[in-house]
Amino acid sequence: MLNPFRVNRMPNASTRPDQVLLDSELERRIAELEASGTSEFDGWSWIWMLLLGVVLPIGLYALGWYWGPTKS
Amino acid sequence: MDKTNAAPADESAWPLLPSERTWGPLRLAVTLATAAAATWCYLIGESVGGYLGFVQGALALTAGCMIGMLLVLLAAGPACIRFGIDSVASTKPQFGSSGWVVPASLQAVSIIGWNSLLIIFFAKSATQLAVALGLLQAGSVPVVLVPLLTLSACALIYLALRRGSTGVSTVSNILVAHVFVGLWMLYLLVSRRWPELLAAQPAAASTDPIWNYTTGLELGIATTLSWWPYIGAMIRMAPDARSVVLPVMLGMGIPVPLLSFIGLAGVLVLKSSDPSEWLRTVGGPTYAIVALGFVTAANFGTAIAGIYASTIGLRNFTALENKSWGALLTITLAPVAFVGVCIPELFFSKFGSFLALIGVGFAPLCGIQIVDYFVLRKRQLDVRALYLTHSGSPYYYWHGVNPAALIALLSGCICYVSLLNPLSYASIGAYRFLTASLPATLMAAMVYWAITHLVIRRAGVGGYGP
Repeated sequence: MLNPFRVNRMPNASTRPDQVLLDSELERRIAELEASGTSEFDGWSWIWMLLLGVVLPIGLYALGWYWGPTKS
Repeated sequence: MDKTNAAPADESAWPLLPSERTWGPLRLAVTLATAAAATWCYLIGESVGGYLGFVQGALALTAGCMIGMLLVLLAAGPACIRFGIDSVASTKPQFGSSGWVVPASLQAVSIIGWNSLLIIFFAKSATQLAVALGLLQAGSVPVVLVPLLTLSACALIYLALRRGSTGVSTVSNILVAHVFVGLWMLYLLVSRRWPELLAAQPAAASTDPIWNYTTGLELGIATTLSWWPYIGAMIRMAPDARSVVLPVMLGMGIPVPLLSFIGLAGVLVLKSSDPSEWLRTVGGPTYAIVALGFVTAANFGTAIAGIYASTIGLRNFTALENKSWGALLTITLAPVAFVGVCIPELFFSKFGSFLALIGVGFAPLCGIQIVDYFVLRKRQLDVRALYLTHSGSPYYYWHGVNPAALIALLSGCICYVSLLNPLSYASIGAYRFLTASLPATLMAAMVYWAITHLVIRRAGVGGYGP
């Protein structure tokens, strides 16, 4: 079976810019991504990252500190 | 994308199209949780239990794991989520069209190291399980059994991964049960030994309690930073950022500290982080068998995810682009099998140093990626440029390498080892307030920003625009 992900011709360091040709399947994928736009972290994602990656650790750290890092 | 093409898409390093990214939040969370939960959790817990009591250790470790997880998500996440690429490919804008081999090497060393360890654990646990079930006699376990089991595990992983990411997900759906078994084991120990847990004193604690507390935090951060190599190959299967954030933060960030509590509690109360040992004490031989089954399953699930991520990473090498998936799997598994068969005990004894060494490389790497994407490029990446390697292409820099990234990486590593020697745990004063991973991340980010601002942009390379 033909594998559409096999590379037929890829540019390398010796290739001039005007000779650059990506594999047709890779080219198709890139074109589709460029056309459709891509998903980024939205407001909801940032809120959860802030809560779970910043607020929660600070809270846990402070709680542990309160528990007695200077006492044990 | 038709079904015929969908299968090999997840076996390539090329961008996945939205239609191919079919993992919902639950599927991603299950896969990440299965990947995260493994024997290393006990060892991490054991390390923390050397310095801190149960409550403080649990809090510091959880806080550290969540911080590390956030850094990894902010570093590799944007490019992997937007373009459906893996962690290694996400470093091309920073390290260059050839320089990405540096993080790729870091990934390979990390995953081969971790998975060698897990496979050794797998083989040892399976041997102990056979003894506990009466299939073997304790004193007469054949010497070749562990190497044979190691090879068998590699063969099983190979077979499971013949189906690419589907194999990872399928195995995870089955093995995720072990996470709940782990929580049950933790419940057993905590509920039956709570007063002892509270009273237990860490055996190797420093006389400086702040140092102990910071080290608990540092171990958590360094542990989850080591998920950088894994995360891209998994989150590229999800369609958007919304489907990724909670599964990563909760599915991967939380199970590691939770299951590490097993090792933490075990080493504090029963002086052993291995649940198969202390569950026998707590609940008799039946519980020990459950624990051994848990350990065996946990390591197998993680190893599958790791080998998959590493194989996708290898796909970025030009020489391996056209190799068959089976050949790539073999190349990835060969060093793991070698370590597991030839030098298992030597490797096993060096785990602590290895864990610390991981943090040295990944912390600066995360700093570089974060500052590059969010500050310098203002969230603009050129997906086409990721695959262009000719002179003059946006990420070509000089000879395919961005010196700013290499200098920043080195600066971050030097910063880390200056604060904390990962082998001896000798530290300087600032470490007790700063940790080592966080300053290393910041140092690398600042150096990268400065060099890019002063040199790279002015030279008109790197695709940073005017």
